[in-house]
Amino acid sequence: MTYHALVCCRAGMGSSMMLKIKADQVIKENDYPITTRPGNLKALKAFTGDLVITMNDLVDEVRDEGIYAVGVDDILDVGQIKAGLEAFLASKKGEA
Amino acid sequence: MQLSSLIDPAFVQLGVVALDWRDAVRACCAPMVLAGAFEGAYVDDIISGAEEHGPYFVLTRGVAMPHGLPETGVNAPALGICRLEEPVDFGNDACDPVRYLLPFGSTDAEAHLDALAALVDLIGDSAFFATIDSACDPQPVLAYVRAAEKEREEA
Repeated sequence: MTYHALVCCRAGMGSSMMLKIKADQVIKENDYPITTRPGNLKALKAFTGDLVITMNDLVDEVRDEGIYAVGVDDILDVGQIKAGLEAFLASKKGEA
Repeated sequence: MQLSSLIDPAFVQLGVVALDWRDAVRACCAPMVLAGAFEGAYVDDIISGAEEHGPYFVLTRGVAMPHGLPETGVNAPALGICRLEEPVDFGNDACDPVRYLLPFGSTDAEAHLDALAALVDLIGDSAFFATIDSACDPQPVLAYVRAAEKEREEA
């Protein structure tokens, strides 16, 4: 099982790209079963994946859509990204 | 496309005085507007976007990359480097106050993935910011960016 994540910011071309680069590093280092692609808030409306990774300011908007969201305050805070992704994977354990 | 090719020397501003975050966003984007890379409407969109959604472009402690929706007025891809004389708060408790602004605009982010990956490395590099702090003109800052790029290519 591989989970699909949308890494998004409002515009989909600046912070989301940088967050995707950082999240991909964390995913690779820890061998998490997650693939990522970048997007903007519009892409959220048509989203069919498993989770969204985004800047903390946008987390509430993502959760309002009923999508699991991992929020990040600081894109260099690898610990926060790691903890968020592990919490997501733990939430999926019961379903498997 | 390389990171350094997005940064015109005129886009590097050192010791900018700003009253608040809106003023800082306008000031850091001013050289790109003057050069025609950004329309004024793009700068307005950055500000209204942050007002509506929060400061989604604050990246890490003390560093923000103001950017908006490209369709509102990006004519050419560009990146600026701006050091504020006094830092300002953007409303991100984990990262405020912000002293360094990296205004960015691109019509094709995929084309600049390498440049953005290089920028992710730079914002985690304290020597990069020490160079910006001690610089009196854009040259040492641009030289640092080019040297970091070369190092990435060889790695």
